[in-house]
Amino acid sequence: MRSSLESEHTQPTILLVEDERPLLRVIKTILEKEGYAVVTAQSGEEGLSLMSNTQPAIIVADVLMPGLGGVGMLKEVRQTLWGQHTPVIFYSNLNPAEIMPEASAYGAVYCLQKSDPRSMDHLLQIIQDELSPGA
Amino acid sequence: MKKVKKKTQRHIVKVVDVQEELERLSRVFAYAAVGDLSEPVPVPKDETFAGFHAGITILLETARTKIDESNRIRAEVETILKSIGEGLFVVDTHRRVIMVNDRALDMLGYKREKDVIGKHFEEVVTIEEANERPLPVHELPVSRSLDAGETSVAQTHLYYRKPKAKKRFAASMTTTPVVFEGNAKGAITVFRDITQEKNIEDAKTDFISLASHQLRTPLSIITLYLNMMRRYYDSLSERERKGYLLELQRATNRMTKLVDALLNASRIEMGALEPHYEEVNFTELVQQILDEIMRVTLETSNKEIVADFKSSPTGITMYSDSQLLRVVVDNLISNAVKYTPSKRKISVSLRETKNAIVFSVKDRGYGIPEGQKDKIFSKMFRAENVKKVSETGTGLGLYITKSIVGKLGGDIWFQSGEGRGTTFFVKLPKQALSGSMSAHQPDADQHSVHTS
Repeated sequence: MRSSLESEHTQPTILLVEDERPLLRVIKTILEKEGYAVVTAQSGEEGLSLMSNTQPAIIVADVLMPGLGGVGMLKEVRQTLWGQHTPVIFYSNLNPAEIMPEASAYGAVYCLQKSDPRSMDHLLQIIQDELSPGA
Repeated sequence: MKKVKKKTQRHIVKVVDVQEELERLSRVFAYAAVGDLSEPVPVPKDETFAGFHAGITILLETARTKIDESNRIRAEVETILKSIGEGLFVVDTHRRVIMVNDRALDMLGYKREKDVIGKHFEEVVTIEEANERPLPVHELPVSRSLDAGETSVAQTHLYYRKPKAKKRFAASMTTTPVVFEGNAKGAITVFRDITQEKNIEDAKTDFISLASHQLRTPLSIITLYLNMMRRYYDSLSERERKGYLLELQRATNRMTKLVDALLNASRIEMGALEPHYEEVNFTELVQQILDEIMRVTLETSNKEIVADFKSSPTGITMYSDSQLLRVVVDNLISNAVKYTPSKRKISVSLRETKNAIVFSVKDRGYGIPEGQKDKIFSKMFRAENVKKVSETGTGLGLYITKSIVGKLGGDIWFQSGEGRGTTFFVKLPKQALSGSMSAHQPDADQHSVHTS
């Protein structure tokens, strides 16, 4: 867990994109309890529109969403000036093997499966590693 | 010298006799030449020819026996080939059909052998690939067997098309070359209709894909909420804990409903849904389900729905399958509640007419868009307007409901206007309490596959 002192000073913003409301709520709660500021979106389109204002340090996104899905959003994010190197973590119901072949072409991408009991630990670890000063 | 002369003389005499004798036999030979060996050999004029005649008689008889035997074997082989329960085609080296069995004719919609015999294989039947493109002649399994002389068995799932009826069916087909002394003399194709197997296979594939995508969502919700509660339990307020437990309850309910729906849909697809008739108090059953749905709605959502239920007469009893009726009633009331905004009313009614029982559920919800009314009972279909309101839903509920109502011998229909609400009606035939038992006794084998 991050220290409260650190989170007060840095409070990196995470953009969370998830169309299932109960999942959006629980992931947001966990991230906030870990000391991150969380901005949420319920579709890929909404996520994209929030990018310029929030300039998140990390994006956590679902893959299967109505309209622009997670991978479609990632393609668009890489076209923006501020999103070229933003780490993106796909956090979905799909098996990582189903997403990686297409997604890995867009750099700094992680895939985690929600129903994996250790996925939350992995998610927090990846965020911590990505946001640590040496990363 | 004298001896020799005598011999020559006798010989000359015999030639004349032989000529005469042969003329008498010419009729026999003429018939034999056209395949009729039954013409009787005339009695010889001269006893000297008795042996000769006997020889010809024996020769003809032997030939006759051999031909009869070979005909009998051929007929037997043909009968065996034609009695094969699967469709059979035999083609020559030019792909012309030289033999076909009744099963093949029947499956392809031909009445007589002569509609097929002598025609090229590709004129008689079209084989399509999965993308509905007809296979070109050189790619036909018979062509490959003939050209490549492959002795291997080629088996594939293809579509046969009745040329006139344009009817297609999935078929499994095996084509083998007929090789004689190292050369391909033709090819044999044996095929069978695998529509039923394919339906079951498709149902399994749908089940797996739906299960993997839809079941994982409530599972993910459960996993993550449990994970969060364990991680921060001590720092959570009482209110937060209750809220999270409620989310867990909702996800579990959602999963239970999903599993039930998937199992019912797969039973329908596999033809394993058979009613078990018993006496059912329909009024009581509706009341129970309605109460349960209202209780769960109150507990797990912040929706306030008012429901009224009228049963006329008050206690309607019928012969039906209570488990199946339960699914129908539950699906229709759940849908009405789900797609009705808070503070609005739903009306459930049950009434008995002369020959039927009509169950109806009226909501004041979103209604079904005009252009999508014909698809509402289709498998995995969800109307566009409700997809925006609720992301959960399998598109299986009404499909299952319609299938069950059909199994129970009833009808289902609806009246709907977008923005005004929908009323679903289910009409079930009323059966005499005793008569219906025998008329609708289900098969003993619950899992028998039905081809309806």
